Amino acid sequence: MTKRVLIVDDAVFMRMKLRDILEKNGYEVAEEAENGQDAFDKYQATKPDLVTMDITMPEVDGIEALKLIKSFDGNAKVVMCSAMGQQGMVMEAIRAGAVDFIVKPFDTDRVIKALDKALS
Amino acid sequence: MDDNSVYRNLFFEESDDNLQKLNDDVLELESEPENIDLINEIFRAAHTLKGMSATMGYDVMTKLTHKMENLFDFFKSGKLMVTSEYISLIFECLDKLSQLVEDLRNDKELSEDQIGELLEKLINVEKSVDGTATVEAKSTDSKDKELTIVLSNSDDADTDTVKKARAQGYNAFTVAIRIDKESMLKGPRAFLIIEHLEQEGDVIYTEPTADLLENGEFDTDFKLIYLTKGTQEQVEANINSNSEIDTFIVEEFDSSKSISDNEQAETAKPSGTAKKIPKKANTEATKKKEDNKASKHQNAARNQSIRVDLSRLDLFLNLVSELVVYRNQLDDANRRNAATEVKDSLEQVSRLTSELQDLVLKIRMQQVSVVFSRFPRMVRDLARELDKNMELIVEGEETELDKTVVSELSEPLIHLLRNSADHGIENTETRRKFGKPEKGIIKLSAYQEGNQVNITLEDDGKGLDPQVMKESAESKGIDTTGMTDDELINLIFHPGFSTAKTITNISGRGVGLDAVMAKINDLGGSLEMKTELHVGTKFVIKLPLTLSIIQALMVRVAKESFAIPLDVVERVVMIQEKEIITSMDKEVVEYQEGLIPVVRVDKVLGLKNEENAKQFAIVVKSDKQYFAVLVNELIGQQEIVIKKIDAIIQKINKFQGATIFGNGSIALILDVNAICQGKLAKN
Repeated sequence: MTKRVLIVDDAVFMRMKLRDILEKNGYEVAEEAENGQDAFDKYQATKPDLVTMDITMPEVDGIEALKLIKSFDGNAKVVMCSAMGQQGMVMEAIRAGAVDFIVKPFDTDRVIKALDKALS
Repeated sequence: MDDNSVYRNLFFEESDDNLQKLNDDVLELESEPENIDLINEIFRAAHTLKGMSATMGYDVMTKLTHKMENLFDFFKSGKLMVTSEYISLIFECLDKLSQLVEDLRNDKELSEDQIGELLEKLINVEKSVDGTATVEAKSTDSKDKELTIVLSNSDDADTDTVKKARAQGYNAFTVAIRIDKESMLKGPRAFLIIEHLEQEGDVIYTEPTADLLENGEFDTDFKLIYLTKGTQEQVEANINSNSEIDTFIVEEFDSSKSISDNEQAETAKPSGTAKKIPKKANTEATKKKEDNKASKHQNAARNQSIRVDLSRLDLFLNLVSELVVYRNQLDDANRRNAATEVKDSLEQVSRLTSELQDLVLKIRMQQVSVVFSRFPRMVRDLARELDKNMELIVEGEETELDKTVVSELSEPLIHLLRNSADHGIENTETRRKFGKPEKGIIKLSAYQEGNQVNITLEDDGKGLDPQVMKESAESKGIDTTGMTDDELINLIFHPGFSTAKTITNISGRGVGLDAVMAKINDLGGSLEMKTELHVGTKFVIKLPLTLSIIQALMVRVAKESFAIPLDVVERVVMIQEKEIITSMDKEVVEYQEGLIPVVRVDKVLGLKNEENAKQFAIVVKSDKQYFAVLVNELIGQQEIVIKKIDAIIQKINKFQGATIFGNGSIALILDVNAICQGKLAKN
């Protein structure tokens, strides 16, 4: 079955790019969210197989959102999207239960490998 | 490959934002070179820019941002001190990047030649940084090496732990992992792998030590001792579930092997005590959490926003303006007919319309900082270019103006700023001679006064010399006979007039201050100049706050109705004709223990007025001075929509515009400022 992904990023541009990568590689985009709160709401509404979660977002950031989603669904698979220089935050996300992380700028192969592994 | 064209517009918008942010932050960095948070911010913005251009496949731009980012990396790691030379180099890069973005916008193909010179400079900086070369050499070294599993530093305690664990049915493995050499954020990557392993066992030893691993201070390989009840296959599957791993080896732990190697390696490296990984990680985690909090706050403070096509906002404004007109008509009709059943709902409609109107105006408002923010950088560059010592002080950048006004403001302000920097501020030597502080100050401030916003640009430079103006004007064939000093100085606004002795790159490119004046007038504003020789020059730009809807006091003068913008009104007092005092041929009236000039609207407008016994004095503030404007009757306070009036009537300089009343009749809006200032000038 096609795996459904919730894309979370505050930059429209990044969301579009990620959607493009996913759709061209056999994933379905369940929903897009532009901040952490939005992500949590949409996670509950769409129950996706996987979430790609940007770390730095206004209001509710990716780590908060990850925690919210994890508390709602302990089996949630969340892959963090980080920029260089966010080691600390990535560590925190891993501790909070992120399955993997991908580093921007996105490289199609890398993204798909990480997602395949996270869902296997 | 990917069809990126749909992302182009987004790319441009986000690039513009990031470039502006970089410009601001780098300028700030120059004054606070030690601010590590700022460097991190800059790094992030530069990185985003690189990421975006890479995703779009703009290789030339990516290359330049990449090299620039390296520079920030050196600042971050302390390998390079922030100096103004480097700052200038970064600014050059930013300018080039803006240009590249502009070229892309115009569908121009980018070529490597465009960035060749800059790249060379950046590479030279890189070369000058010690250690870079060696770091790179090291990493190429290890690429060729085989991944080995020999541990160099484990000690007896580890071997003992393994023995005890085995006695309790645990398996012990030595694991060596090589991460993809292109993998970014190696620290978290290693951490994630270890975290996964720890879900099914314990990592009792790592090489390099846990803190080095966490910080990513290793090349591509790391090794560990792992205790688990799982089988070798399970361990392999666990490691395999991670992404970005190049190769890995899992072997039964063999104490003899590591101990012998341990002895061999002992002299080479100080021993690391990394046994208690989880504990260590935790303490560091709490520390990092605190660090993160600060940056999280910053992110939360950033406003969320969307971009809206301005034409839609214009349409919105027009619709609301019409709604206001009909709301007023309804109010009017209601007052006359007093139909109680509609009264309540009408009141609500009335309130909602007002709120809607406030909202649309607010939506259209933009802080002048949008324009001001680029000026400090500009003045800095000008100072270097002209070899003068000067600083720009900006005040009141949070002042808001209608978007259309703000976006038109940049050009005239740049012109005035360049003028101040070039002609106003003297060089250091001259300043010293006149006993002035060596650093010239240009002050740009914005503040709201009534329903207008004043923007002043003040320099402490040499000011204008009427005699120089006179000579200059005459040499250009302008007749100056009989002109007063004031008139001579105001020649600066004469078309084609330029006082610069030589034409510089900075000002005097043929466009004179007359163009600035014209622009400001177009925006419905006014431009004044005050100058004093050797003290400085001050330009005052007055702009209407919004272009369309204002609160007004409706008044009657003789038989005509007029609107006075409420914002200029300080107070209304009733006065008798006999309270007006005539001194010299000026009429004044007492107000707050002082005397203020009286403005008779009927006389100013040439209206015939017979009822003068009792009048209302509208006390207004214009250019920080009070005036008493006399009218016959107060009609009431009302929101009015400003409609443009014919250019000929506008030239009289007494009316701001016109408005349509609820009953369809028309009233002119008095330009109180112009009338009062005109009165002063005459006196």
